[in-house]
Amino acid sequence: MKYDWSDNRYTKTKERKNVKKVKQRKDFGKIRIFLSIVFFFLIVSLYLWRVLELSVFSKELRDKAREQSQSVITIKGRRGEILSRDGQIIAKDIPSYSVWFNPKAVKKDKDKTYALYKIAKRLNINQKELRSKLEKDLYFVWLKRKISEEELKFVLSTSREYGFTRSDIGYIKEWKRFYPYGEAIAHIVGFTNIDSQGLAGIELYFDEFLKGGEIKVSLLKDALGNIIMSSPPQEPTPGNKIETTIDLELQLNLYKELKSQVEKMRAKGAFAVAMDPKTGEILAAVSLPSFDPSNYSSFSGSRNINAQFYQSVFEPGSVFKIFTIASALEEKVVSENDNFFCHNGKWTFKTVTIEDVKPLGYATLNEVFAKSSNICSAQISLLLGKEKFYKYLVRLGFGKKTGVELPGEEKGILHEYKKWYDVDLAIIGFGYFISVNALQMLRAFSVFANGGYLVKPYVMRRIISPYGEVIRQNNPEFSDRIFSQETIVKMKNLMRDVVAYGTGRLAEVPVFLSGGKTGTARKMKGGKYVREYYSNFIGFSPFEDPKIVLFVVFDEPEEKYYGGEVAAPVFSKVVESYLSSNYSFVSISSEGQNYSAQVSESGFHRQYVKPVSSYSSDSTNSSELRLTLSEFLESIPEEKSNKSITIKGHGFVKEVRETETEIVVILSP
Amino acid sequence: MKSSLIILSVLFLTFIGLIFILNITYIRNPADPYIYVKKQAIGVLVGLSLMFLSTQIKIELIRKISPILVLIVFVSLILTLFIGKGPGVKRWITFPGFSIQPSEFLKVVLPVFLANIALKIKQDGELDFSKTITVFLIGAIVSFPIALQPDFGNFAFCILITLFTLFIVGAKIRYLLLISSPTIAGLIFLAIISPYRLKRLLVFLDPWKDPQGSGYQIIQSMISYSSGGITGKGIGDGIQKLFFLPSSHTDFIISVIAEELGVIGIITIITALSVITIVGFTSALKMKDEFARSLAASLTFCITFQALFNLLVTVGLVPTKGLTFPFVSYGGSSVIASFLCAGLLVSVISKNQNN
Repeated sequence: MKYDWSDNRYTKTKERKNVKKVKQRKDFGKIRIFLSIVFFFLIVSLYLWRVLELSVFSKELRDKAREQSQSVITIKGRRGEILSRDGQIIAKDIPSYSVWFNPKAVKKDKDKTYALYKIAKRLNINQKELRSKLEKDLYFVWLKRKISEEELKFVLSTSREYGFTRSDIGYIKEWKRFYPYGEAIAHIVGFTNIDSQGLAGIELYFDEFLKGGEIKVSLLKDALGNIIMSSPPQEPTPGNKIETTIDLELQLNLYKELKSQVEKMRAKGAFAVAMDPKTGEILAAVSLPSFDPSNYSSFSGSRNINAQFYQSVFEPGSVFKIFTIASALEEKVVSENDNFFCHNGKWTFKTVTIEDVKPLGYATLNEVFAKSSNICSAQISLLLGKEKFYKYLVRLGFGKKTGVELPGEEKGILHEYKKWYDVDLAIIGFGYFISVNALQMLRAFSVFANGGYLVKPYVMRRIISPYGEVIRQNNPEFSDRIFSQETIVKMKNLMRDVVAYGTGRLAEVPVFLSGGKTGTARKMKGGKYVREYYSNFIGFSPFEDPKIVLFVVFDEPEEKYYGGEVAAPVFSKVVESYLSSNYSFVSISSEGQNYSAQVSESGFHRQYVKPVSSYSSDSTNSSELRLTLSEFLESIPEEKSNKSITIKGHGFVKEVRETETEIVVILSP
Repeated sequence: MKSSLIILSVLFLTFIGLIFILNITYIRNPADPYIYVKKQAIGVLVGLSLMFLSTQIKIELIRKISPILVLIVFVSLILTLFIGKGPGVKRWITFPGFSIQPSEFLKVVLPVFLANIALKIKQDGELDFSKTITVFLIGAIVSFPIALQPDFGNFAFCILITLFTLFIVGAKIRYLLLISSPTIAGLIFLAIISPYRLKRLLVFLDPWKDPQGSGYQIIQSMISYSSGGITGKGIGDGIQKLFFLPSSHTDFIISVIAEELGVIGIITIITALSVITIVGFTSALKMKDEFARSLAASLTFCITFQALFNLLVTVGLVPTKGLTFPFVSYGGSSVIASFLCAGLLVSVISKNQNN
């Protein structure tokens, strides 16, 4: 074969016409090659335009992809624990399992569908719900989240039995929040939803600190849509621990006593908050009715999640007289020796008629307070005047949030004094025309228990990282002194008398002694005051060196409604048990005429100076007298002062046994 | 000078390819992270030697033996249909230790073979319709086994090479259009008789129709581009290659480059491609010898337009087809064939420069 591929265009033998024709074709070829270059760059431009569209202008694509793609799921790290003040666990994450399945694959297979119904039955998923999940045109649907290990075992064995592959069904390990004390501490701790987001209480307020890290886990899919779960590249980081100020024992006791009293008094609800008056540490807080934070679905949407001790505001009623009288004493518009005329229980001032439960004629300041005269409190308020009274109420923190680190605090209402009518001034004197939350009340009240300062209440003591370092810490914060030492001593004595002789006798705390004020505030419904009450007691103990202040409020008790009868007994029981376990009674010794009781922690020193002759050694049963321990101690005659004293039980003196060297006092509620 | 520009671009693309093959497969295969890059490196070494060897061979010789070469490839292609191995498709002939994909080599020999035939036919007179269609049918028949493997993408590209060669040797445009129309119809028919291909074909029009199914690959590729942005996430920091993007070391390696190096990386690659295109075609323009000219143009087309099609696939402008990006994508046959193409191109250019 002859290959002659040399160009014959230039062969001289060719005719001119032919040459021209070939020449034309040659140019034609050049043009075609040139066109190819142009075509190349046209395609390149088309491609580059598309690239720019995708990489620069197409945010939508990214969003759309994320939205449509079920190929990434988020695994959350273990949420931090919430601890009581002594390190006991109040909330923690426990392992649980979340099961997913592939509807597209399962619904093709009758056996597998049947098996899935079987599994669903065991997991308490109703058939309707499962059917709708099966109908989904997806490769990945959660069957049920956060199931127990036992349930998981059933799922795995059943799916193995029916030949499920690992792209049909699978599970991931997740964490489930667990609250060992359930209802008893629900409102402070709060709760989380199924995705471990804090929704209330500490869980919400400190969510950023508590929550663990997140890791995205990808689902590997082949062209047929099989899913293979890949294991996470590393464990997500756990969240931080929160150490609270809560005294668990006190909290549980408060919950228990409050609950039993709610039942006994047939009240709608109750709430209480206890604080260390010197630091502002919240020791316990309960709101009833409560809920079980472990079981989110059981209470979502329920009103029970309202934490009444800082999220509800109300008119405080009689307990507010504490601040009226303290301000009046501080301003020296009244003195403890003044006499007041209380109009025998009924007094009309301008447009309002004020009534007293116990009608008084002429009365000392002491009687006005201890017998809780509305009329005379109103008169003292009028003596004090709007501007001065308002000044103290602002200093005491009314009308603004306490700043407690819990979500959704209600600040109540304190109208500006310029807007007050005289009638308003009068009724603020006994706790109306002002609304407060319980924590505000307790904070203002603490002023008398800590020497005159407004503290900032707090519930978070320290935040500790998983590596043990302290990330954040709360320390006590105080305002400037609000009342002088003189006023405070006077007020403490007035409040002591309420418990010793007045409306609050049932609030006595044996040995430690207490002071406080009862309140029975009428509720306003539809613009009118009705015969439904907030029955409450606010108090402090021990008397000499207060370690705890507690405010107890019952909402619409039906059995009885006086604060002194409904709330005071709860105060007594709870505070006595708290003090005796934390500040245990060591000994009572005598020194000449004086008996002293030593309390372990603070060197608390109690002196009794007034021997009363009501006690005789022959008497072995004094229960009829409802004698308090302190009254009994005060009544021990001098000649027996060298004997040691042992106290058993709590409540009132029930029985006294005496030997050569020892007096045994048995108390009973 | 000109040929060294082509070699430089080719080496640059190869280098990028090796880096990204390592980068992508390292994570996937914890047992032997280097296995893919080792295999590719062997391919590159073989390819490089063959490239420099082919620059020494005289074009006339290649032209003379081109029918034999095509016959060998054709027989191998038929063989794949009987003994071929592959995931659902029969594209490879397996030897102990390695396997060969003959369709890749057809893309090298087809331009030589067809240019030779076309010019020989042309010697006897003008390329009329019957002559044009004869050349086309020869190309189509030789390529046809590829369609049966089935490897729709490479078959279509071989048809394109045939058409382009005819275009360059001077076949009338209207004949070419006339030939293409039933071809396009035929391609559509092929797509319809195998429904998975039809689905692929339709999906490129709207990948979101079936984002978890047939649109998945294209969508994941487009996500790679969009998450890369202008500057990219940095080498090694892309996530699409982890689980999301299938064939990320072969057909969709460019998408990973787009994610990690961004638009800047893409432009760099296009620059290398443009260098080959411009040098290849302009050299062809100046050649006096018609065979050399057609050969240079077809070989350039073979390299750069295959790359272009791969690019268009990754952004969803052309249906997914299984065409690799020459020199960059993983695959021994692909890389060796690409080097042979480049070697022949360089050879033609340097020989005809000296004229």
